[in-house]
Amino acid sequence: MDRIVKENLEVRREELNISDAIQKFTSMGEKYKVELISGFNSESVSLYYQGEWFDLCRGPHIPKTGLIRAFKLTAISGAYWKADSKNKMLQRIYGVSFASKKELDEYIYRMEEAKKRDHRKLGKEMDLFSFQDDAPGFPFWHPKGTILWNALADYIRLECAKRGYQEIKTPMILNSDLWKRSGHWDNFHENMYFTEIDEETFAVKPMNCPGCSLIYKYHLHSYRDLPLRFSELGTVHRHELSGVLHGLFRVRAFTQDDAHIYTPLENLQAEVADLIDFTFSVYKRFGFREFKTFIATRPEKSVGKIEDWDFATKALEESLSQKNIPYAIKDGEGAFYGPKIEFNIKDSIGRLWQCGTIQLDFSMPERFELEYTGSDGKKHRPVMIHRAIYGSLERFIGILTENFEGKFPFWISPSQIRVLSVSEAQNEVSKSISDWLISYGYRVEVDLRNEKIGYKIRDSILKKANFLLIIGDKEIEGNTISFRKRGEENTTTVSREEFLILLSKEKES
Amino acid sequence: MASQTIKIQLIDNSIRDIPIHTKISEVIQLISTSLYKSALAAKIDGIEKDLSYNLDKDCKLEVLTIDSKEGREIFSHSSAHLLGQAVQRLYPKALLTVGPVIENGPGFFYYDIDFADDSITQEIFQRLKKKWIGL
Repeated sequence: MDRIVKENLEVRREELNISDAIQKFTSMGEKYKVELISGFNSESVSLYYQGEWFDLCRGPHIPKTGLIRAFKLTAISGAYWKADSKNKMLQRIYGVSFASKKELDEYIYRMEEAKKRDHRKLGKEMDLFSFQDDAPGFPFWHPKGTILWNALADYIRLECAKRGYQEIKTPMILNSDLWKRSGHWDNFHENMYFTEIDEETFAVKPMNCPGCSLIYKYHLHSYRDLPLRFSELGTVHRHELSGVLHGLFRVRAFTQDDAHIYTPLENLQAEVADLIDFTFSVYKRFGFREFKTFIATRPEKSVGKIEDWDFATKALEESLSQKNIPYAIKDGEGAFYGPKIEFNIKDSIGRLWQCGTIQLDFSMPERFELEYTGSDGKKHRPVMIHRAIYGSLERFIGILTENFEGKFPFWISPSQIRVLSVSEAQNEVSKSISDWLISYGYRVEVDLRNEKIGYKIRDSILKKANFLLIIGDKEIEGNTISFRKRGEENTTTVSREEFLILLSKEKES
Repeated sequence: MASQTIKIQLIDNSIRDIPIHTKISEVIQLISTSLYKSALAAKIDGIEKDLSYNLDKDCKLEVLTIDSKEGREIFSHSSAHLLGQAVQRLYPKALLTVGPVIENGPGFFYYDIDFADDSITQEIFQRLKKKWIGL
């Protein structure tokens, strides 16, 4: 390959009529190419030449092979011709290529980092979660993972409360009639799980919105009550083929930090503007600084009036522009019931992750006949906004795990403090220090094992605890705390009160 | 006969008059040398073309470099050709099938190849291995 690059062969296109092309490839014994051409529904095909070699291809191509300055093969696997197991097994060789050696090196670095940071590996090492054959694609949250999960839930609950959200919970299983009314029966059927109750078909919820809309509908609403903001940490089940399951990134059950906002149309833009601020403030709390934002517009198959779509899309665009947030358009990639904003966050090794969405919906208020009484005393239809900031807690924890390489910031860390006794003589005091810190709400583990202190320290570093407390005779005598921060070599000794102050500062950072 | 000219609209909406039947690459050379060096292909009225394509009517021109999604795909696709050529140079009996660009997977592109004689594949892989990423 290097030789072909060095030869810097010119890439030339040639048009050939079908029968000549078939003849050409037949004479070379290239039976697969012949089969491909025979299936074409055109009069001519194009060939691309480089040096002595050519291939059947629609193009276009780069002008010279010398532009491919860095090339690596990455994997090999078997694949059937035309993906049919009745056909011959072929060798599939994968590769990557770049315009410079530097870009290749960066790519290799990123891939190695990604491998080191793989949340499936770290999840096992840190005992956060597991996947088991008895429930493929459905995560088991172990104690430490549950701490993370709850930390994320607590934080978003508090932030929602500050912004006037009311939290709700809706049933996991609902009658199929509801799913028919919501449109999920027609549009989402193959991703849903079903069950039977009293000889009627029920579905496990793949989304929280219909349940939430039933709560809205339970009461009469006046324009004075709107916007109504219902939040729900809603666990949903969506069927995925077993082949696409991937750790916490692609699961069959996950919890959305979901919310549904019902607002008069004229309030839409103000509401969206607040949601954008809310979303970025959450990402920034986790230390993310770079983002990519998209607006996905009306797809070919859509419901609702075109002028509503235009109004809504414009509202999204203007909300972003007014905040000077750059965005790109994903033309035709919106949901069938409304346009949306998609938020991508860039992680510490430069990968983009799609997380939050602000999704407008004209369809569900219509289908569920949702109403409010306007200041004119007449009935009006609210607009519904579906929004999630993490997206899914499971996926977000996967992203955080890889972003921080398991070294979680103190405020969400499942192992905030580990107390180590130097020898058995300090066990009792170590335990009481642990209890004392737990009483302040910190997550503390205590290691009283009869092991050398050096071993206990190394083990704690592996567990990625934020603070190590080393309790020896000196600390007992002086009633002090000697601690080591994660990633630091030096030990600091402070009074107990000073340590508490230090922890409360750490919690906020 | 006076040479006929056509109007080329660039992405900044500026217009260039150039002689008819000028190659895209020549037009780009007129616009900017650095762009010419990084140009991989171009979109003519939204349709992807080779740089060797002859312009024969008024059109909009968008130069594709590796920094755009389309440019990256073309680069990867040409790289799949490079792989195909290298394999057939090493082992002329190998039959090529399809070599597409992919979005998700262990690479940016692949080539599905029928090595005909399975016993030979190990040897080929040893020779290709020098180009293997150690992942």
